[in-house]
Amino acid sequence: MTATTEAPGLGSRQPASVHAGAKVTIPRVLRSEWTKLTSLRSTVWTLLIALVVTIGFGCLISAIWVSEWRNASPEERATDFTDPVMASLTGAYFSQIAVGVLGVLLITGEYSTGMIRTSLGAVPHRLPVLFCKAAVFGVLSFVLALSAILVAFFAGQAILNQENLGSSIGDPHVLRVLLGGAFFVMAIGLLGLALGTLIRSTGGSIAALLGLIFVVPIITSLLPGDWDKIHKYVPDGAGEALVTIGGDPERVMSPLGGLIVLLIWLVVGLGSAAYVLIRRDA
Amino acid sequence: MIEARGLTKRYGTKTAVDELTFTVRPGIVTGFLGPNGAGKSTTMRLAIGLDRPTGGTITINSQRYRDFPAPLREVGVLLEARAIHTGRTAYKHLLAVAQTHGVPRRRVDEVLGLVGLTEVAGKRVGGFSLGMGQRLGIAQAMLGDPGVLILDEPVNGLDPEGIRWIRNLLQTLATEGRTIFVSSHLMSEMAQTATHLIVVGRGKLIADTSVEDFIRSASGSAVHVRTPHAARLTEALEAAGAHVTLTGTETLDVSDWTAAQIGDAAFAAGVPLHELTPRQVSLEDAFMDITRDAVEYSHGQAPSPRVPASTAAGHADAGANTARGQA
Repeated sequence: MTATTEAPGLGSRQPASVHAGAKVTIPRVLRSEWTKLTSLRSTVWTLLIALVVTIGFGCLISAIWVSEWRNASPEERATDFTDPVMASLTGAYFSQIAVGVLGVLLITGEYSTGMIRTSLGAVPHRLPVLFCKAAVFGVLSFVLALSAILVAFFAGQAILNQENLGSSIGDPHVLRVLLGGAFFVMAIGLLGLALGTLIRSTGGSIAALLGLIFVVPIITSLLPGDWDKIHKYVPDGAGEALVTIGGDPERVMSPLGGLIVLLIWLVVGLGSAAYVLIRRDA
Repeated sequence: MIEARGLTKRYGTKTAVDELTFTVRPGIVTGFLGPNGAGKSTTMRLAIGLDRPTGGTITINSQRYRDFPAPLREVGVLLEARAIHTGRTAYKHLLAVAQTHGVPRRRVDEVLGLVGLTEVAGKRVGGFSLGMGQRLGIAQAMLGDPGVLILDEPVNGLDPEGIRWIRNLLQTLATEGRTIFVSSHLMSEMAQTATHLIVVGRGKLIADTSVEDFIRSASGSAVHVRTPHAARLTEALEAAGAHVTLTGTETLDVSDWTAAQIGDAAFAAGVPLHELTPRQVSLEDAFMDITRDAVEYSHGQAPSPRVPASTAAGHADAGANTARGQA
């Protein structure tokens, strides 16, 4: 680690060509955020966990279905084995934890290390940092979630087809469920990013996220009377609408309704994150 | 050129920066000096738009930082609190910063070479020593080859070789016509690096002067004199207009007179001298002297948990104790 100040040209101002056209643009911030996202070990680990959980649980639950089916009475067979697509997507539901935590870490990791000051110093308008981060992470998590879900689906249905329980990707609603599942996973990741931006501390943000996606549904299900209809409008309920085939309309919204509700959550979440990012001292 | 005009920043009821007005000129190294908690870091954060001023303005080359289309090209920044994700390698960190501006990869390699980190470019920053972290921060500041550099405590954690390296680097960069604004709480460091000084205490401007003038005014010559006839000599010197302080039965301090003048006066008065010692007021003492009222968390008062435990701070604290002992 010896540095020489004498080395000619290094400290002196560069020929203009080196920096010609150097300025902040949206595609450049996207590229920078992609580098940031892919150069952290936490990204690799959380996404790997999400993949393994999605595919592993998808196969496991499908295998359990098959063995349960073999032991079931004809009445049980008629009532309990109605949604084979969902059986192979169980893992995707749990993978939300990993993707959501990654969403949180992408921004709280910047706050805890001070990196946020470098990020906002390089892009003083600030909003491109948040939105490019969201875009890059959203695309990556959607593509990975969809890939994992497709593998889980085909493997799961292959297992279910040992007893001819499986469905095919060409069956009604199946493609919508697979795409919707990936969108649901991505949405939870982006909500994690929004919460992380709002709260800034890793622990607090993860607690808030897990509370929102796992605890709030428990609370809404315990509410008396018509109040339990609130469940349709929390992220978990809206996501459920995306991945359910033939659900009870009293309890589950239409897929389009669920999509709209999730999009509203994202707009409100990322919108308030953007607002505080602009207003707050970094 | 960095210009602060009436710059003020309050956090709740606490005023961190109080009506600061100063100008940092290109072509020289300007030191930004003040005790811990004087508002140096806050001023620098205000300069690069991380914090919003409560009042007043701070501009760089007559523009607000956030209005630059290519901030890295205009201003290189090293913040005292580290601003680097520890989980990323040095190379990927610099690359991500460079990419926001479309600065080419070869410039990343170049700045890594400039600070001597080429060999550890692929290592994660979390494993870096404080000194390596500072070098990486300087590499980042140099990415866009900016005309203005704002460096908060850049010598913190550097070894003597590193300190000399940064001193040379800053002077070279200033010679090239860049504006160099460097903060420190160590007067001795600034005396060797800077040409001009902006001194702050409790967020207020205390001095805006050249280092030369600062040293000259600070080390106002006091001469220590020992003589068996202290009273007679005092009388003679005071009659001639000198300012004399009796410090013992046989000792006195004379300010504003040179040793030669005092010796001549004593000879004329027929007083034998046993000792005649010009005393240099150290720069650190002079600094402590002018900032004493402005030291926010000084020792002897309730111990503050906010005093950082770094060795550099320890040095300053030792200086503070010395100044207190003399006061």
